[in-house]
Amino acid sequence: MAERLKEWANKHLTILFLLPSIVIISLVCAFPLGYSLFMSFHFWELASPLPRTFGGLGNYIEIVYSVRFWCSLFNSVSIVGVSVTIQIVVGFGLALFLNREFRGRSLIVAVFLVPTIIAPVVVAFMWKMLYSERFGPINYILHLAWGLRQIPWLSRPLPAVFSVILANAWEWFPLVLLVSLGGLQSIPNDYYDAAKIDGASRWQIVRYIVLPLMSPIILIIALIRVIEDFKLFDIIYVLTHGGPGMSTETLNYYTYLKGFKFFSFGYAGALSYMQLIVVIGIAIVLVRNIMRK
Amino acid sequence: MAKLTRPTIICIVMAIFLGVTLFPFLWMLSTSFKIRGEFFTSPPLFIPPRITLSAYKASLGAGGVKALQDSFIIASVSMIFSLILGSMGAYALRGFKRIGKNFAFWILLIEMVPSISIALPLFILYRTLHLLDTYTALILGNTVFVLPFVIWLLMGFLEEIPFEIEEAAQIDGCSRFQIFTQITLPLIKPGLVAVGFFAFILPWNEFLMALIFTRSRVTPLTVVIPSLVMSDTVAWEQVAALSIMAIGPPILIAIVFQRYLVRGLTFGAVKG
Repeated sequence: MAERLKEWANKHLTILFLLPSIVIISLVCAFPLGYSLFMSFHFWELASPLPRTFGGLGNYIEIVYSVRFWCSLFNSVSIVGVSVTIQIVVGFGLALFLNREFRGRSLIVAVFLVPTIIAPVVVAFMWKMLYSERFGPINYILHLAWGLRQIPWLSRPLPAVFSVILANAWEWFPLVLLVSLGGLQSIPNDYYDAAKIDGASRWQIVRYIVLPLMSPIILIIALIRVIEDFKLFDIIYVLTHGGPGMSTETLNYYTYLKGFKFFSFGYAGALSYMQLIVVIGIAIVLVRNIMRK
Repeated sequence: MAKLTRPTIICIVMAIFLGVTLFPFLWMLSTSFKIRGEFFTSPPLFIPPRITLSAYKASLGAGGVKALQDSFIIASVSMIFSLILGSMGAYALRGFKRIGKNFAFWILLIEMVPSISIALPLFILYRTLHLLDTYTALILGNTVFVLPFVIWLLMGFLEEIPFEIEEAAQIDGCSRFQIFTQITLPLIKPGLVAVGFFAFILPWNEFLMALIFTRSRVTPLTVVIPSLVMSDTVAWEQVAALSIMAIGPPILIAIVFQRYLVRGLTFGAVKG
């Protein structure tokens, strides 16, 4: 009997191996995803004694007419856009510099990786301390070097947005660096040799050989970073709580507020699906660019 | 003034960026060695006059020990689960060539979903099952969060194993399960180490789920650190001390396993 069971298991190993993953992903991911779509079609306030009522597209219509939604969307797009751009420029640029063998290179790359492997919450607190107006080293150094007055990094809207962007870019440029390095190292040396024989300058090599070869990889990592940065939460929570006012309130953070501070589960569900639509839209645009290369 | 040769420019640029990369970390490290209240000095102290461990002791006493324990439990169990389920899943999926190529696409799609979409119903589900404020809630959530990556990366590592080895074992009469555990898995050990690192770090660093699903019985590090800021006087030195302890494990593991890690990271990322 046990023999037959073993034989059966051996024959169906593939399915058996997939089953646990499928079960757990369905329970904890797929089912909740469907349920939140269901929730988004209802007016549902967890905090109120009234039961939930079916609302159809009511939540979605309310969102489209909500100024706060559009503001948060604008914040998301601008914060993500600028931050990812910085990550790509710095990450890829440093990779170009590091794309040669020299002693201590792996140590330097390892040091650069520190921001990415530490917890985002810790990153946020590091920068919260740096940004302190009166006691933080940034203002102190700026004052020493250029006599600048104290900059209200976290208490005024525009500096606050910049603070979030900078902290986030600091945390993630190493990932771009790592991926770019990996990609750069897959360019065969013959390409460089041929170009040098033809008398190309370093800048020409970068522009006409490296960049075209690397652009798919750069676009992919940019896409990944954009998708991830739309979900930015920890840094905003710790640094600004979405403030001052709502200047750093991204769509993702607004959704969190609506869902877990105000417990408007229906509205928050709808907001999260709006976010999904926006991100898919942006992804499609970026993927079209990748496809063209 | 010496001529600005190209190597010199590169060195200067490198040094600047290395400095920018390390400075926040060093500042936090320095703050963690200050005595209570020394954060509130202007001009700020780069090196405290007296290096003291009082902040470490205080933060450990104020719930830090349990925080480290809880995070460790959640992260390690999640890592074990995701490695087991992930290696099995990756092994099962390698027969399906078409799924393999499109897998990256599916992962991207899943990543686009904001965590809140899943957290909202999950909150209700956990509440109904009395799973709020339990280890299980976070272990489940983190395992699912990490599983697609684990499967994807392990699939990449599995591709390198030639089928002939397994065929030979099959001819010798091994069951497929034996082949998996005694031949395949040992062959991808570096991959398992690299992926295991992520499967540990991601739950260790995770914040949103920890914030939403825990109250007082389970207190992961990432939630305890902000909670130190909730009172009227903020003990920044303790925040710094606890944070340094929070980033200790990832950095230590990274140093020990860096050879496997760089290979694993670039492998998975560039393959996509």
